[in-house]
Amino acid sequence: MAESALLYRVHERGWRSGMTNLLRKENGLWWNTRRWWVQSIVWYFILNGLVTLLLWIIPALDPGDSPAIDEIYGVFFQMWPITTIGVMVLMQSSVVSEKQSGTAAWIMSNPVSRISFILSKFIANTFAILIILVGLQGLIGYAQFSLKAKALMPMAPYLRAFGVLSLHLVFYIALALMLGAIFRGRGAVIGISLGLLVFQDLAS
Amino acid sequence: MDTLSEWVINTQNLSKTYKGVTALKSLDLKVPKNSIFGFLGPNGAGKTTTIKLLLGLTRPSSGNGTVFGQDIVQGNVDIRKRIGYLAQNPSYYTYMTARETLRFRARFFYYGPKTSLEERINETLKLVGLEGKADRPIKGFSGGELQRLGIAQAQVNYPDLLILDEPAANLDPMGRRDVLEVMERLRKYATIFYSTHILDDVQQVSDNVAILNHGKLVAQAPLEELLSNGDKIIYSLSLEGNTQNAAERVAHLSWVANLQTTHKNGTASWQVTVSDDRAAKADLLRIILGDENLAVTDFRRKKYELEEVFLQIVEASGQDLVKGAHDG
Repeated sequence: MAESALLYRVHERGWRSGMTNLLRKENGLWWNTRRWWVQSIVWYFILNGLVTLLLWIIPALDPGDSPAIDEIYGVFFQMWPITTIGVMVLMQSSVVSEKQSGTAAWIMSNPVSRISFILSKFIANTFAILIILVGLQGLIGYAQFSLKAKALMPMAPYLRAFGVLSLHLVFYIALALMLGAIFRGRGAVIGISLGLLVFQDLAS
Repeated sequence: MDTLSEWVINTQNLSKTYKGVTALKSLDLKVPKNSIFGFLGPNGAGKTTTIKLLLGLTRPSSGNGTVFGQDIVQGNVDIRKRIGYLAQNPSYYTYMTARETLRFRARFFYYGPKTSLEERINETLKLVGLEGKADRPIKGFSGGELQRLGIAQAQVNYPDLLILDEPAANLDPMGRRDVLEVMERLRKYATIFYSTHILDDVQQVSDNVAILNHGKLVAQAPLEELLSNGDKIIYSLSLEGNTQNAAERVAHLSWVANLQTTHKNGTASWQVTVSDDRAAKADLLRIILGDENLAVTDFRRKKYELEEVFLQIVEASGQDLVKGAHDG
């Protein structure tokens, strides 16, 4: 059982210990499974389905009853707060389920820092959520409006809106992970996140 | 790092209290290199707490300890680079296969060509006899298969120290035998520190033993020393016939410290405690057989079973604790 000459020791130290392997696993949960395309389709119907209906299907069925693009544009942006709830649902069990099942304890018995354990989840989930929920759906929406208008929509306000939305989602991803690290139940994670969202809505 | 130290694990006054309840009291544990160290104790004695402290999964309330000379609080990540650990109730990702589980754990330690990594994984699967089930999701594994996987994942990084928490618990006799065989095979590569309350297993494979009771270390010694039970030499005999005269003669011998007799179904059982083993070997049986009214059906030097020693120690320490509580 001699050490294989062709294998090299991993040299991650301090807070980075275990990061590469954990990041590979967390990314794999999104991109090596059907999760990424299932989520892409689900979020297409939630965010862009109504736009497709209003921009293309209704005008095709009844040409006299097509709403103005500006109105549909407004409807499109009113749909986006729902992504925050989507993030809460997607993230609620990320840490808690590992604590409940005991896999977190198994992971921590390896050369892994607590920071790596949480940060790998944060990086992989943020990356996937921003690509699937924001990037892809934003691009589909932009393409639909530009095709309908037969000209490219102004890019700058669009990017600004999605920039702010991305920051908002990143905050809730981080919050869900933090609450998951503190509490043992999913109820606390989703309850506190939702409470904050409602408070934010009422305060604004 | 104190790699030259003869102790792989060394703790001083290591203690842990959970919400006012003391789980571990001033533990001074020394585990020698390349030993199979049995860590015994009744349920709730503090064995798992000790293991978690050694791995840095929980922090001590007081005291300190080192593993490979590295502090268990400050250097726990580096310590875990040299350890393989099997938890009492291990959980793995159920969507992974056995092979994927081993690959995932191996990657915490190694990188390099895929073929080399797979070679390592295949070798480990073979070691625990899981080659045939390597590509099945572990969701459907039996308790025994999960335990084998547990040992495989603990071993895949070729650790210098294997910590196994109840490795043979919940296994049928075949599974237990297999686990002990794997431990025997690994003996020459690593120090094995394992907790258990299956004393037969300890007696089969361990060379050093520590006994914990109510969070306190009550005994720590090489197994042979523990089984010698404080150098007390006892000869055990079964006799038939009239034993009264022989008993009186034996009781008065200068090297006989104690004679206990019991009778059952016409057979007398004697436990003769002697202070001079040489004299006992030479004369005890001869003196008894000098009496023509009796017959000796069994004569042997008593060998202690670990279970007997364990119960004596645990019960004595339990009485001490009760006495201490009353005195206190």
